[in-house]
Amino acid sequence: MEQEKTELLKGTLDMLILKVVAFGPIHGYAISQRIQQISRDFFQVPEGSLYPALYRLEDRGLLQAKWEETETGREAKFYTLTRAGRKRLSMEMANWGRLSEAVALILSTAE
Amino acid sequence: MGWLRRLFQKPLTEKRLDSELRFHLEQRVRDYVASGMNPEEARRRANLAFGGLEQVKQDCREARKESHVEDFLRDLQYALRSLAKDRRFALIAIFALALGIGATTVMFSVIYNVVFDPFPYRDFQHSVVFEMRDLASTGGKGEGARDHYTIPEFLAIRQQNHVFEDIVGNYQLNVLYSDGKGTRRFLGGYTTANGFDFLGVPPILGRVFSPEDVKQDAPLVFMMNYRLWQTEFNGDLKILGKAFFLNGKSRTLVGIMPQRFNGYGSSLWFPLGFYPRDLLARGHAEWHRDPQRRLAG
Repeated sequence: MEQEKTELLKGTLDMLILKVVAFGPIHGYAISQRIQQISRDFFQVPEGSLYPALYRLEDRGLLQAKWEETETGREAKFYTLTRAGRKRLSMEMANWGRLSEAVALILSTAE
Repeated sequence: MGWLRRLFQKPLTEKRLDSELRFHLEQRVRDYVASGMNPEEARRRANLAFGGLEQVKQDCREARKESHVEDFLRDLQYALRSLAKDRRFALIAIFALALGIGATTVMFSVIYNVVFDPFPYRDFQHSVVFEMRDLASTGGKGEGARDHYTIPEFLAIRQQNHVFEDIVGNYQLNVLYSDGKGTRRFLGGYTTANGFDFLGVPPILGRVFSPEDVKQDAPLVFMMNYRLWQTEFNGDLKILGKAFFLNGKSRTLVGIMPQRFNGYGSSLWFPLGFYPRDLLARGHAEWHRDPQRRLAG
């Protein structure tokens, strides 16, 4: 089961991260927690996928990062969406909508 | 410019990567503890979930590198595509580049050979050719000036020299070469035994003249230049030590000078002793150029 979850994540992790970051500045740990909570524990984002993805997105200019203090007074790296990231997110969401509609159509076809 | 900064601030990026991941770990431990786990167990579980800090770090570095490679490939693709789209522009650009590179290369090699390294000779900027003139003609070359000397004059100059490090003398002559099938004519030159040490260029084959070669009863020897060696003897490597009939006498080849060596403007050279009886007897020997090297300092 664990394996299936990660497989699913591979193609969509970038999109999920962008979506979560779109709510406001957030650090890596909170991103993984948020994804897990919103998906009602369906997605557990392993650190080994999360951080490389964050670095990739930052490097491509979709995310930007800033070191700021958390509410507990510690320095942490907070991510926000860039303009390009916002554009990318809406594009991916549109794509995803079409894709899932198409898949749903095929699956709901009566034999 | 992000990559530039990263290139120079590697330790900083590494530190940041480390503290970001550590922050994550600590948060997890905190959450476990908050949910009632004992700290020891919480730390163990968190580390387990993380699955190897070093591995994650490595993946992050890779992710960064990957996107650089991707960017580069994308740029390259884009460049190639736009070149392919506009063939005429591409051709003109390539032509202009080729022309520019070619012209620069030619220019550089000409300037280098003419201005910076015109002669392959040792210390040649301190060499002079001297000229004798009478008082009436102090201007340019012409009447009343000569740079040829008789042997007695040359010997006198050399004997009384206390200014120059070394003095060489030479003169040119036609050399007839008979190989049994026919006779050919080359431009040759006599040069004093120190003539090659003076220019400081080593031979590519054999040796240069030594004082032994100009002793009265020394065997007759000669040297030849690269071009003659290539054109007449096909660059034969076993040619050294062979005897040739030159101007009716048998002379042994002792050395071949390299390609760029053009000293004394001849194709082959004979060593010039100071009392070759035949020269003195005829008394017409003239000294073509007398490059002198100044005493250093």
